[in-house]
Amino acid sequence: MSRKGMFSDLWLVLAVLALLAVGLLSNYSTSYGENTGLFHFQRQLFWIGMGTGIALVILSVPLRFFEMTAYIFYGLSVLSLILVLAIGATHKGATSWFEIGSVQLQPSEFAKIATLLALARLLAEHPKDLDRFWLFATACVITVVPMGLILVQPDLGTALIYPVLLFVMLLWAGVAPLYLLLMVMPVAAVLTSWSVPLHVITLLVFGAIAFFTVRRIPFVGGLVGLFLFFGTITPKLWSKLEPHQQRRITTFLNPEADPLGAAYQLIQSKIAIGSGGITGKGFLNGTQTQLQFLPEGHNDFVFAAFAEEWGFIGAVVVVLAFLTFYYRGVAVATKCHASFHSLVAIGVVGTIIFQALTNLLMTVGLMPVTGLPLPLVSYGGSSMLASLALLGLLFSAALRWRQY
Amino acid sequence: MSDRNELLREWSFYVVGSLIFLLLIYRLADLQIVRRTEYQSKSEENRIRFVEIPAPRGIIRDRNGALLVSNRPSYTCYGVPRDLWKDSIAVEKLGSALAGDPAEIRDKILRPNRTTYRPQRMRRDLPQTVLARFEEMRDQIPGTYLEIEPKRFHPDKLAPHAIGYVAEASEEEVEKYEGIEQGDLIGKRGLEKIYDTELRGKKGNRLSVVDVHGQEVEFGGSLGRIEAIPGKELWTTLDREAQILAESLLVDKIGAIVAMDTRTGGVVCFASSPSYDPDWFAGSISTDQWKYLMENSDKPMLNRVTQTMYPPGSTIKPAMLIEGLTSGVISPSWSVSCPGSFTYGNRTFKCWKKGGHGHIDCIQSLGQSCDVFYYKLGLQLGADGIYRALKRFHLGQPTGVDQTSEAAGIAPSKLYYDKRYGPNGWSTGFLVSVSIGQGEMLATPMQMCAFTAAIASDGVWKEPYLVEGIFDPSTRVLEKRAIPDSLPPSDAWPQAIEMAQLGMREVVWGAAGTARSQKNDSTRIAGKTGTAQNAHGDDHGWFIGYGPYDDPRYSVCCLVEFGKSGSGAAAPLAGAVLKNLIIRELYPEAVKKKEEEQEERADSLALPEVAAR
Repeated sequence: MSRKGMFSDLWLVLAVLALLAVGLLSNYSTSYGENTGLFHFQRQLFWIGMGTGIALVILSVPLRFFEMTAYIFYGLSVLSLILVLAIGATHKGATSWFEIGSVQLQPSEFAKIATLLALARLLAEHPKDLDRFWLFATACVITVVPMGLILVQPDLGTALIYPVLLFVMLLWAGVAPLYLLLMVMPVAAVLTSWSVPLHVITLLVFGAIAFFTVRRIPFVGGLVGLFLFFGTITPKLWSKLEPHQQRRITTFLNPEADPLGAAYQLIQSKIAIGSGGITGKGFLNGTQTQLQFLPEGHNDFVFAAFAEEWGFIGAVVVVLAFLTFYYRGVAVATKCHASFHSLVAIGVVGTIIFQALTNLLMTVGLMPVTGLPLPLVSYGGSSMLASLALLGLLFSAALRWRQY
Repeated sequence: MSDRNELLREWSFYVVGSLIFLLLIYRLADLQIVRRTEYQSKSEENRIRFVEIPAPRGIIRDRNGALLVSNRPSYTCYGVPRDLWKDSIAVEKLGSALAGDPAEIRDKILRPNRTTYRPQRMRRDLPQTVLARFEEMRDQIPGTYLEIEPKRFHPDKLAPHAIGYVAEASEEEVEKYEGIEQGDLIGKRGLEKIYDTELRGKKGNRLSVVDVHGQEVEFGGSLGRIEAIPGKELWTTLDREAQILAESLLVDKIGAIVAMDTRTGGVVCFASSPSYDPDWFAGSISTDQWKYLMENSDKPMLNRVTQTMYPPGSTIKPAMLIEGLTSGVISPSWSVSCPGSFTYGNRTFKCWKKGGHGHIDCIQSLGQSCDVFYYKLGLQLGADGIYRALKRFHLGQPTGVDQTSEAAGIAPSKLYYDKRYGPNGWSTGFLVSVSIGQGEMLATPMQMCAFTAAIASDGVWKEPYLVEGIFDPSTRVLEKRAIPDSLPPSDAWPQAIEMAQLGMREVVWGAAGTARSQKNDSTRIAGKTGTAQNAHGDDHGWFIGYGPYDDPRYSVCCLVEFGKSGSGAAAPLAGAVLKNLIIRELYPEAVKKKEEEQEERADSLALPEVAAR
């Protein structure tokens, strides 16, 4: 390994350590004001220790082993998702947990890793078929099966990761732009259908991209037609929904509509972050956190709790840590010679960064409240174990970048 | 794929990612640098806090709508542990103000929660004197405030054993029941427990404005509020007046009186003695009260209607007679000659009447309660016959009345004897005792009352129940108890039932009847006395009865522990309750007139007193 390679991986390790430390400090602070004592802090330490062990095991196994076993692992994780629906425990309305003694495990976290490996193997195995429809369709099926099972639980936040993972890996593998547009354009059509000017502008932008990348007029026409179809059907479907179903969706997209629920969380989160100022209120002195104004301070809103006590400086450290992780992670994916290694690396980076950005943007009020935890920082066993296992794969790819 | 494309792809990742991260940092700078003063003042003023609105627990009414259990406001003292912990003098003061031990508040409530700002309950249900003392010292104790919470209130403290009580949920209950949190009240026994989900209602939430010390301040604006949903009302079958009478009759006695509407199975009276004050549980129970309830040898918490099993004595005889006639082992004209005792094998069983009854037929066997008649009948029935006789009236199994932990009693079968004594460890001699309700046979007063009601309803056994309807005060919807359209007719021979009824009439109306004292032309009751031998002291006295015999409405069962005899101790009490129920139903005008007269007399008596003042 070159000295430069060592150096860049060192930054990756530093970024991860910084984020774990931030998580521990926040969990100490939020459990400080709880009746439960330092329960969360101690549990978090335990999960980190266990996750690191798992990451080291993954690191010591050749990455080729995971390529060979990818489909078996995938099949097992789909089975576990079916099993959890049948016999799992229900928390906060979603049947997504296995209870083993006092420990609860969420198989959807591990299905994420299995799907990532299966997609990486599929795309790496067929470099000549990247422009073929069957490959795209197969990749879609691999993604949709676990995603559908998670939607049934129902856990919308976790299910959201799957299409993003698919998109990132297809993009990185280099499939024909037609397929990427096929994924993006219907979503864009649905999301912009509420405003005619926005809808038209979006159509023009995507039409232009399609024209210059796909180039074959019938396909471009088909994409535009698809966009218009989804654009027109969405308002019609909307009006057919029951008022309470509509309300559920608007509350998700616009939480201010629910004054005692999500809006309260968001307002308190913004006050926590803003009142932290430049240098913060100091460790254990965040009034928003300690006075229990900030709900879920150890979990989904952990970043707000941290930003209150450590200020802009602390918040920027967290953001920079994720940014470093992102840059160095993409660099790992770039330097890998083997397609599988490269795809695994980009999949890991894509999953963790997408979750991180969704959580951070939610906490500062730029995205709807989805309930996704902040990877490596939020309290939670399954999330921590899954994140550290993903990191094990990333570091494995970084170590073995010379393999073909 | 070309290198140029790969480079483009890599850079598109960097550019898109960087843009989003830049947006994030821009937003953070906006919140934390540009608008920091605005948010800092908001945070300092952040006085909006969720406050729970307790849901008033459902009211419990008697069959005429009179209140048996309702709610009354009470004051609870809350404190913020993290504020209090810093100030040991204030903790001292709080302890003395709440009349509690300061060390207990400090060690049990404050210490485990010392790092939290979440208010904790210091003491429930402050009495007036404590309230005044606390108000005086309030300024010197930071982080404490009062909340008004509804508290259970029992206007006449009636039927505590049937109604049960509420108290703070235990850790197991918090785990087990959804919607129950630490510190919530939950039904622990009786109706309060069985119908807890209906009675509980749903807590509401409101955003309240509090000052720096967490004390609520007045606020004009409108804040979010989710109203509490009050619990549903229980409309019971209990009759308040009959209940008052039954409880007063049992004062200073140990025993139970239970009465049923024979037409429906509704329990109209459910009294167990000694009793206790259910209000004790409503607020904070004192150690002395707790000690009395737990350690008194008469066990005031014990529900003697459904939880205690006694040998039923002679009150079981009608069941034996009915089985004997139905199965054909005896004919309606069967009779025995009673010399005062009966020898079986090498044992002699005595009749209660030393000189003997002489010639006794089926009807007189009940009227004069001849034991020898039933010794002989029991031997003819055999173990299986006796078991059938008891099973027909659901003896040996819980009646299913809506009460917690109901005892099943024992209806001994062959299987039972084999299990208990081994296949060869028992003899038919056991049956002799069982046929007069002694020995292995045990029953609860509730079971005997349902049994009596079944005889009154021509053998049709009805499941007793206490709650007739559940009324939702917010939607005004009454959910009525499902009553089966028709019950299957009894498998007993109708003439056998009729003979048992005639025999029970003879108990009260016969010249030699054992409960002649209860003869009354307006109530026309029939019944059966019982005296159960008791190894621990004086015999227990039983009486079961129903009336009027020509149009049955109510059945009653009375048990008096150590009452010596059924006719002396139990029959007068049971008779009084039946009389109250029947007279009020059959002659409402006469009852009303009498009440008015009494009121007038009371008024004329009260007048000079007022004038004198």
